[in-house]
Amino acid sequence: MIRVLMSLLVWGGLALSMAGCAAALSTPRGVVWVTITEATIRVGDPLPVPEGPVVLTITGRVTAAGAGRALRLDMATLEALGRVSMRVDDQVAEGREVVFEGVLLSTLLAVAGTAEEATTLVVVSLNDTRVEIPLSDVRELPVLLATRVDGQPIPIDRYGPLRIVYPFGQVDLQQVIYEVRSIGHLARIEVH
Amino acid sequence: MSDTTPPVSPTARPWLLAAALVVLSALVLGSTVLLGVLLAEQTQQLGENVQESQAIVNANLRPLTQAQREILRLITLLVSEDTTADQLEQQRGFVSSRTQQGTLPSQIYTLGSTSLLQTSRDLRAQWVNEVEPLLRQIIAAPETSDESVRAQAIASLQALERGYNQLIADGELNHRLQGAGLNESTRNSLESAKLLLLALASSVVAFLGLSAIAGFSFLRLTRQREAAAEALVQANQELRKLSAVASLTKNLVVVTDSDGRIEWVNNAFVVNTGYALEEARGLRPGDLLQGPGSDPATIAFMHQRLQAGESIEAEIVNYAKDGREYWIAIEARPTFDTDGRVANYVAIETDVTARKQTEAALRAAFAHERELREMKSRFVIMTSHEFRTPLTTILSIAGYLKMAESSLNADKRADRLSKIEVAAHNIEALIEDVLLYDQTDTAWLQFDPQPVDLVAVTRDMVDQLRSGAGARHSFVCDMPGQPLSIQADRKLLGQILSNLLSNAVKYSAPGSPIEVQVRRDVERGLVRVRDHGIGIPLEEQKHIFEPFYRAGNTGGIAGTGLGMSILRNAVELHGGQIQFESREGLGTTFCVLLPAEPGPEIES
Repeated sequence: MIRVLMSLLVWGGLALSMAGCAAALSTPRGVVWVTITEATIRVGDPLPVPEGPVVLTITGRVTAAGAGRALRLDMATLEALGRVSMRVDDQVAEGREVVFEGVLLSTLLAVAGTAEEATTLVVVSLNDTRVEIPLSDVRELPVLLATRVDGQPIPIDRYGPLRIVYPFGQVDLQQVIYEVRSIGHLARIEVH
Repeated sequence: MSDTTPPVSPTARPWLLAAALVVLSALVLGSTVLLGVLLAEQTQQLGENVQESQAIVNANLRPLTQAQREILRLITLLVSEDTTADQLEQQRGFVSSRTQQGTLPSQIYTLGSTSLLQTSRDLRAQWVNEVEPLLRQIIAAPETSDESVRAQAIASLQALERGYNQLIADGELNHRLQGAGLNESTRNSLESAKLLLLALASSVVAFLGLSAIAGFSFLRLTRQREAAAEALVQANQELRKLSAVASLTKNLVVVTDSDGRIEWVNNAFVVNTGYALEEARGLRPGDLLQGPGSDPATIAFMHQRLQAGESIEAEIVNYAKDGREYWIAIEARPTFDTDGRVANYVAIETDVTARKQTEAALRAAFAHERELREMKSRFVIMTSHEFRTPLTTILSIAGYLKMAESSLNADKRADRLSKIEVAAHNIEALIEDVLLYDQTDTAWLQFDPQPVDLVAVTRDMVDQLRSGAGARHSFVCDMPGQPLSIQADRKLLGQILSNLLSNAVKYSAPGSPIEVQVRRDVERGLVRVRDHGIGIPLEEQKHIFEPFYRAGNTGGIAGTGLGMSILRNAVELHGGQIQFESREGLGTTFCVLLPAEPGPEIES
């Protein structure tokens, strides 16, 4: 009788602890973005001289425009690098789910040719806000340089004309870190 | 077999301990579960705190401060003379985006209360409704616009800037208060959790301790059981040996319950008594085996001792199933259970019939020898008295005759010589008696019964006495007229009648009557002789048939003390009976019964 009771106690304890472990597990979710237009300018292709107003300047350790020279891009050139769309839970700016379109930052930097020793991007807004983004973000996450929102160019009232968009809602991102990096009114990228 | 063991149940304590352990374990387990639940609650509280703190972490004052900054820059642009419409438009966008950002639901984390969020939304409305229309007016026609419009826009923007400033200050304070409260709550939760963890740890330790004790006692119990099993095996072997002893012994072994009813008997019992175990089981040995020859006093003694739970040793007659009588020596002992009560009686019985028979034979031989010795001493006394008297007479007369032979005349000499003759005859008669006794004692060797007429023989004997020793007595005869035929040895019958009649003459006074009766008594001939003589003293009546025995009142009357012995021997040889009745000083009646021939005589 004692033997039976003792085994009951032991197995009961084991069962309880296993149930606790199972509750801690969760399922990862996949990241989804959709290509809207294929790229017409690829890595290695010469970048055209901007015809429209320059919306983005890339400085620092980039090679496409020659050593030590800034890369100046207009909206058409940017979108010619391949436009993708991504649905993002934009609690930081819009306060809702929004579909952004634009160029993947990784594509842009590949075309711009970042130096091997580059580690950090400093992104600067039209109203002089400066934020650092480690290059590892660009390698590991689908970070979007948004040119459109809801299919239209982004007005300045909605952080246009360019925005850095992190895949909130698609990947578990720590808000306190990535909220700051989701910068609007983007004007310049310095590669350090 | 052990008689006493301490009255302790050997299995009761470990099981009691086990039960206690189980109950304690259940209690400890229960408290562990309870503590676990409480801890889970605390953990949940902590989780909520983390969520809240995450909210505080997520709080972002930046949009509001930026809104304030962009408003200030917009005011600067409005004040400046050189500002272009594009610049104004861009700055308006900045302000618009920031004020919009300040109304997002997530700003609740930053501001800490819905009322402050509402304030933020009011400020945004103020921007959209009051300031932006004015700005659009100025941007649409920068050169032509009225200065008052510009001044109104600046004033509104300044008011807006103050509003945001206040909002930021209030939000900051809220933020810090929330943090402090959360810290407090977290600290409390941690304290509680620490205590709960401590209690839980103690509980687990207690449970482990109990489990260890339970395991240990289980082990000990197992070991005890193994030891008990081992002991049982040994006890079984011992028991088998003892059982073999009980089964194989020639002694009878009986085991009864405490009530004295048979539970088991061995093979020797079955063989000796003839009762199988199935027949004997449930019965009391006494009821089964004892019978008329069993001594009631011994039975009572055994019963009393066994009732008192004492052991007994006794010897008693028992009966087998076929009625055979045998003696047993019985040794019965009670055995006791653990509470000291009688559990069984074990009786070992030995058949001592042979010994008992030998003892009886020895006793008989001893009695016979003592009888012979007594007879011898009586013979010596008789001889010294009875032989010496006539011898003294003979010797003294012979001496006298020798001395005075010449002086005696023929008459006197003849008288003396006849006295010698009488004395010598007396001695001869005595010797005759002794020889006759010896003869009757062994007469069965030549016993020769044949039909004899009892009446005729008796009449002849009476006539003979009338002319001899009984000449001075009067004989009164009562005899049938026809013969009474009996089966008798003629010589011995003469001796019987002679002894009866001569004793009557000898021990009664001359002249007194002697009554002689002969008659048929059913199938026997009866001779009754009655005298009125000295009689036999009452206390000596039982001895008169012993050889050489003479009653105390016979002094002076010659006799060997053998007459009655001869008489009885002779009667018994015939298968007859002798009876007498006597009162001292009044007389004696002897009655002899001898088996009769079936005859024609009919009892009147």
